[in-house]
Amino acid sequence: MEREGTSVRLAGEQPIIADAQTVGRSQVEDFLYYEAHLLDRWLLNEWLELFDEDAVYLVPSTDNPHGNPDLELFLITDDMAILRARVKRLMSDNAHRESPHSLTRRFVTNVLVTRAEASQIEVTASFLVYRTRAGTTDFYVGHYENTLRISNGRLRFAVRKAVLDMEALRPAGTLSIIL
Amino acid sequence: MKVLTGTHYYSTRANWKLLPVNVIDGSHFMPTHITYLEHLKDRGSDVSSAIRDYNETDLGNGHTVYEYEASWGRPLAKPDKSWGEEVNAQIGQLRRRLAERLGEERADRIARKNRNLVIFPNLVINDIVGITIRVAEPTAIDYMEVTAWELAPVDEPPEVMKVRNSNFLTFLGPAGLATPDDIEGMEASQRAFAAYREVPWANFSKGMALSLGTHYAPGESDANMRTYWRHWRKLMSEHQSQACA
Repeated sequence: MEREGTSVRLAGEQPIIADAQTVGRSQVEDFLYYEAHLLDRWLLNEWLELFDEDAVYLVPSTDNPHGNPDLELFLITDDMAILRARVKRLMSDNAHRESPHSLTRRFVTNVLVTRAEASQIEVTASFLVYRTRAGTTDFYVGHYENTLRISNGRLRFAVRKAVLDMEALRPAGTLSIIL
Repeated sequence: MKVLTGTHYYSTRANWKLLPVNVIDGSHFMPTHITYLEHLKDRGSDVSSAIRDYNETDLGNGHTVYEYEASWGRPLAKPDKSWGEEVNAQIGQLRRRLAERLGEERADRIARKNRNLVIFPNLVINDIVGITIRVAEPTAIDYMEVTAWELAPVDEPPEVMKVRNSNFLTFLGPAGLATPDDIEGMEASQRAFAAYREVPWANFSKGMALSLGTHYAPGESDANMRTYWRHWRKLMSEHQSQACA
């Protein structure tokens, strides 16, 4: 059984990628599935390694999916400093909403490379995330609008944006896990 | 002032009155928001005091406000070590403009102090690291729908606005580093209320000695919660006596 805190290595090291234009969908899928694997096992410090230093993690408000994160109200607009604080919090015993951690299972599908240039790759994908804790199972459904980069030959997040296809954070009530 | 585009629509599996009561309860801050304080400390803010220079006011008809200073900054208008010189200089300018317009005493109160305001029965305005307007609407005895907006000055420089937005979301909102733990507390309380036949009372007696002239520590009084619940009881008993008549 898969458990929190344990990780499988992906079969072999991923090949070094020289040029973003040569990246295919299957490589992007491997990257997103590996990410989902880390998140569902609460390996959040390992998950942080998938980000470039100037990256952002965004979740828009449900009524404003195309808004401006600097001037309008989002749910999450983390730069790497705040994302590290979020992870530190979630890995401590004092994040009451996630202590003990909830069980999560995420499904990432419909992966599309929508644009590939020399420097970056734009990717969309659908997600469905179940969160179970204290006798209740909640769900989050939406899509990713991610921008990836090649950094030292590896895929890395520059923009990781999770857009909810829901009218409200109900009945889940909070977004205390990583989406 | 303006309400920003974008709305937080969320919910809590608890009775709707727990939201206003959470907001005027000073005692919950330290045990509930340890991880938020750790973040402030890590980023270099002054975290020596979450609540000082404190007073709580019964505004009549169940409305209350709880006003206090925290050692860290406010976008309007108290600098914070972690926000950098450029942003702090702009906050200093906003502070000077407040004093010119409203006088030093009022400017000091606006800029330095946080306000947790409850408009009875279900409207909350928190003027803290950001300003949020929240409404709790019951759809069942143990479930509320919450709608929250962000209020901000119209003439704020974009750099300060960015700091305001980031600080708002770091604490507030259903995906912040603090509000989810408030919600966890409300839902855990609601689960415990199922035992009301065995445990029929909740204790809100802290700080009652103040009325006898005894000193109490800031943030350790339940006075505002007593104001809220007494007004609620008054309305309910009036309703009951009308129904019986």
